[in-house]
Amino acid sequence: MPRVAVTGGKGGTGKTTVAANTAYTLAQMGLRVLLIDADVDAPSSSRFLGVSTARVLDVMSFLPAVDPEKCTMCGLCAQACRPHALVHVEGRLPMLFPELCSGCEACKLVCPSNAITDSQKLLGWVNKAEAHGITLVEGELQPTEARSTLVLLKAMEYARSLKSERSYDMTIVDTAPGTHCNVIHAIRGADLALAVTEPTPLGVHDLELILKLTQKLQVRTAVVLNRADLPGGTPEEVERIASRHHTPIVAEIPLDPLVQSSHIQGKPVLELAPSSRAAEAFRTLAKAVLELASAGAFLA
Amino acid sequence: MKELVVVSGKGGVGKTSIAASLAVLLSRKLKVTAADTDVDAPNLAIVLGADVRRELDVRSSEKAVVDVSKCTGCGKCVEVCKFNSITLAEGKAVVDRLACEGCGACSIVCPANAISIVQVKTGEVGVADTEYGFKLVSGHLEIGEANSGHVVTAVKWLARRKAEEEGADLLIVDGPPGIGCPVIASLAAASHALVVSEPTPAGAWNLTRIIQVINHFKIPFMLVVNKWNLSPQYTTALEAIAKQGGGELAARIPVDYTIAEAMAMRKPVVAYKPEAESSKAIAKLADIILERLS
Repeated sequence: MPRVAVTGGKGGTGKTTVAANTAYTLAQMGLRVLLIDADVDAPSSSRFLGVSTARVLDVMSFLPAVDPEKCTMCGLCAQACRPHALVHVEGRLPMLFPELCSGCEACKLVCPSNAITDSQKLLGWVNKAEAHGITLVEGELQPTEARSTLVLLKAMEYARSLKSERSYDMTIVDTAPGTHCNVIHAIRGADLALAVTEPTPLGVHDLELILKLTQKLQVRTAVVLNRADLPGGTPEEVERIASRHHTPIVAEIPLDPLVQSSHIQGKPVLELAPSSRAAEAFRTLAKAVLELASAGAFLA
Repeated sequence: MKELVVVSGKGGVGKTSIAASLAVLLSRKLKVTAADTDVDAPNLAIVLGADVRRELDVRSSEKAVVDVSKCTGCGKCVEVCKFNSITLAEGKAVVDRLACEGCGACSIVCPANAISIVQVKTGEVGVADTEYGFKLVSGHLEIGEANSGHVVTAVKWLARRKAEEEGADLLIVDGPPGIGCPVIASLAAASHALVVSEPTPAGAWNLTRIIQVINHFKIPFMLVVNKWNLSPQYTTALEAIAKQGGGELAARIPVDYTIAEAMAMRKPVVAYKPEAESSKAIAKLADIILERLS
C-alpha cells in the first residue's frame, strides 16, 4: 500500500490543504485512506476536514526518579546524561531538570545501584477520527513540552497498528514545516513526497531545501505549486528550481477565494465547492498522486 | 535592551513579512538589531534583501558511530534505542544518522565497546548588514539535523552580542512556527512576544497552544491578526482567545497582495509601498509596540 508524504519546507504553503483535500478526493473515489497528521506542534487536519477527534493514546516519556535509599551519589548518571538533565553535585542526590530530559534512559542503564526508576511524564497524545471515508490519526504535543519527536513516533506507530487490523489503499502523511528530524521521520520510506510550495522567493528558497532533503532520503518527489497565480508571484522561479532538481510540477492550485472559505468553514474544498477551479486542480492532483505513488511502490 | 520575539504556532501566517516591516519602521526610532531563529527555513534575510556572511559553526549534535570490526551483532543497541535509529544489517549494527539523537544509550549497553559518540556540525550562524541600517543575525540548521534548539540559542547569543556592540535598544527576533523546542529556545529570556495569527479554525486552535507556551514563560504578549477581513467573525474569536490569555490586541492587518509583490522585490512591504493598506496597519502596530517598549 503506497504512502505519500506531503511536505514543503516553508510553513503555511498549503501542506494541510493539499493533504486533507487529496485524502478526501481519494476517499470519494472509493479508496480506503489513512491520513496521518505528523505536525505534532500544530496539528490542524481535523480543523481542515471539520471533524472532531477522540484521544486514543497518551504519549508518556521516561523521566528519571532517583531512589534516595539506593543512590550512592556516584555521579555516573549525570556523566551519561548528554542533554545535562541530570547534574551531579558532590555529596548530594543528582539534580533533575525535567525540561532537558530526552527520555533516552542512559542514566538508568549506567546506574550501578538500580536507584533510577521511571516517573513518566506526559509529552502529548494521539487522536483519531473516522470521517468522509478517511481514518485520521493525529499526534498532538502537549504545550510547553519541547520533545515532539517521541509524540510523532508514537502517532506513526499507532497508525501502523491500524494498518495491521484493516487494509488501506493509501496512506497520506502531512508533515511539519521545516527540514528537521520530525519531517525526516514522516518522509522516510514514503513512495512519494509532495513538496507544496508557493510562488514567492521564500517558497522557492525553502522548496530547494526540501528537495535536497528528499533527494538525500531517496524519496521520489513531485512539486505542487499552490496559489499559482498569486499577484506579484514568481512561478518561473519555482519551475527553475524544480527542473534543476529534476522534479516535475504535478499540479497548480489557483488562488481561489473558495479555498480560503474552506479553511474558515472547516470543510474540504471538494465538499464546499466541488465545481470550483481549485476543486478541479485537487482532482487532477489526486489522480497524479495515485499514479506516481503506485508506480513508486511498484518500483520499490 | 528589550527583546521582541515574533511567533505564531501555525506556520505561514506572516511572521517574517511582519517582522521585517517592523524592524524597518522601528529602526527609524530606535537602534535595532534583527535575528531570524527559524533555522529550518530562515527567510528574514530574503525579505530584507540581505546577504548573510557565515561567522560560526554550531557543533552540538552528537551521533553514534559503530566500529564494525568490534560489533558482534548482538542487537542490544537496537533494543535500547528510543529513536528507532539502529538496525542490524548483515549481522552488524547500522546507525541511521538522520534519526540518531546521540543520546549514547547504545554505547552504554554495547558489550563489545563498538559504539562511540562523535560530534557533528549542527548548523551555521551568520551576520548581514541590511540596507536599512541595522544588522541581521541569521542561522540555519544542516539539512536533516536534530537539535535546532541549539542553533536557535547560538543565533540568539550572537544577536545579543552584536546588539550590545551596536548599542541597540531593541532586538527583534523572527521566530519559527510551532510550539516545540526551537520555539521555546526562541522565547527564552524575551521581554515581549508578538503573536501572529489568522482568522480560521486552525489559526484559533494554534493560537491557544502558543499562548499556553508564552504564559508558561510569563512573557507579556500582543496579538496581530493577519488577513483579518477573511473572517471578521474568527478575528473576534482570536481576539477573545488572546484577551482571555492575558494578551493585548495590537493590530489587524488586511488581506493585501502588495505584501507578495514586495516579497518578490525582496523588500519589506513598508519600504516597498508605504501607502499600501497593509503598510499602514503595520505602521500603527509599530507605534503601539514603541509605546509598550518604553
